[in-house]
Amino acid sequence: MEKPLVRIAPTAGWLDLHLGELWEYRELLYFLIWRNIKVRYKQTIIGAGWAIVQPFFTMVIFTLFFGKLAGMPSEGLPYPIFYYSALLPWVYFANALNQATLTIVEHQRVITKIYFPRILLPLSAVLSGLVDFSFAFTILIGMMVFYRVVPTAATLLLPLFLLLAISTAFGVGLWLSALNAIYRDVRYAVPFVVQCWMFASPVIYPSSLVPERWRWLYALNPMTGVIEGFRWALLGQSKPLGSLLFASAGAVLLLMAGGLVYFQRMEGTIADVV
Amino acid sequence: MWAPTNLRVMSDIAIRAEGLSKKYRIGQRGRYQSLRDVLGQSLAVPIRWLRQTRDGMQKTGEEHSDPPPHVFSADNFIWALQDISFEVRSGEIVGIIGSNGSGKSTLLRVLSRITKPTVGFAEVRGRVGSLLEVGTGFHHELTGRENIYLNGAILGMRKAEIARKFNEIVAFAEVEKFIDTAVKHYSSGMWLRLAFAVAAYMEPDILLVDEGLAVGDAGFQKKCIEKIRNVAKEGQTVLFVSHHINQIQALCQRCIWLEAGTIRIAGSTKDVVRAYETAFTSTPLDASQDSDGRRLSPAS
Repeated sequence: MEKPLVRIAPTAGWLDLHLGELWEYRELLYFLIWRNIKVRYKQTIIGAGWAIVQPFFTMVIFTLFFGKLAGMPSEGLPYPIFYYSALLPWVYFANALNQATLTIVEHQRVITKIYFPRILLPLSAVLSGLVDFSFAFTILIGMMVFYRVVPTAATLLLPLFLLLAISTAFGVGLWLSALNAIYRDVRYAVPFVVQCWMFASPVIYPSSLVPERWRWLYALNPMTGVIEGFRWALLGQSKPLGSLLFASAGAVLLLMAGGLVYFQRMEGTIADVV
Repeated sequence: MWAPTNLRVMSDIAIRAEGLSKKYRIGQRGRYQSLRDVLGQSLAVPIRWLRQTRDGMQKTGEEHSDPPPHVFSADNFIWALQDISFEVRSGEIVGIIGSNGSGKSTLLRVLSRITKPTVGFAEVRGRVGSLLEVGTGFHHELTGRENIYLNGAILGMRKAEIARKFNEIVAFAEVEKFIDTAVKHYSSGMWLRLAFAVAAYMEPDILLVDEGLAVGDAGFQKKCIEKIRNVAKEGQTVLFVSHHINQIQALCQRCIWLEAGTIRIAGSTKDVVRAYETAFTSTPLDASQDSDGRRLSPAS
């Protein structure tokens, strides 16, 4: 049987993804995700319960302070479900970004000793959060039953919005993981950036609060599309999304393309700087 | 002895390097760049330029101040590898010797694809296994069983392949009783044995072994050497970096002597080792000692 020939040379061209190679290493991706999940819950008492605690208690706090105390509009929905439907994708996104930022530096020893496609690291960091997401999702189903919210046909589109969230986390994660390996202070900026990003997204308030003429700028935030999409798909909000979604999707594609190019250029020599 | 090039079949070449060169930046290494530093340096450039121009107008014929560290100058770089070209045929065991800092580990890192070369290229035919360090990717919270799968996957083995070899790996490592305990409870010996066992069953077409493998007790070292010898017997190519000349002589048919990033001499192990040893014993460290290091009496 003819053995595969691999050429080792300096990075050439703009984008050189080696998709065939990624497919070959698909099992490693599975093992990295499996390891992330196993390690996260080992030696914890509540175990998977932690995945529920963060969005749930944040929802309680938001309901009390932004809902009851401040009286934020919630488009006719009960506060808890209004906030939880947004917190569900948001918590996934925030955690995925934080994990992705650290992943290359955390794997410093592995990267400098063994070869595998480095892109598997931010990819596994972003995908590991989906398990937490699914646990938190069960709570949402419970809440929908409690508030007698009936899912519509639009609910079938929910995976699409989840995919948008994953793509955003991956696109930004590619940038952050490579940048943090080179400039070690990036990891300190990220939690702050994520906080600000939350206020720039319709988590605490509906996007209808944003003045009409700024709505286009607001929609360039991919998480706007994700969160409004989640609310629309799950809770049957009346207004269709239309251009808001296209703007968000376009921004995601740009982020991912840029992230892939940057990561791929850094990949060859990241073992020298990490 | 060397076979003439035109008689070699092209698919017989396992590794081919041509003009392989690797440049590393020195000076700022070990001090991580922060975004703040980079921004500060970028802002300082125009100020420094203005200052230089002003000084230049006042004092003629004087040296300008040093360029800022991010400006690429000859002082900031080192060529760890320079224009390395060689061929290794399938089934050969080739030793790589040289003093510390000669580029041996860098060469293995480039061939393992851990880092990309700056100039030149290499072609590698077949699956490459690097034993630059064992136990890479082991997580202390996971059990021995889980780590075998994880480490095997990182090394490039398929899950089915690992499952098939699982029992042999555990037997080789002699950790049957502890296979379902978290590895943080293992002794360092057990840890090393398990890590090496996984790597030993990798069955790559090309094996790259670095001297860092020479850790562990004498029994473990013996196992390493035995395994490498067996691997070579099965027709796999091996590149073996070591400081132990006797190990090189025992295992390798051919040898490459690297010095300061270039190939000083390459050929049969006998010739290269003879040249290597002559070079180190011909220059006496102390004029009052003979070549065996015995002190000469003043009279002789």
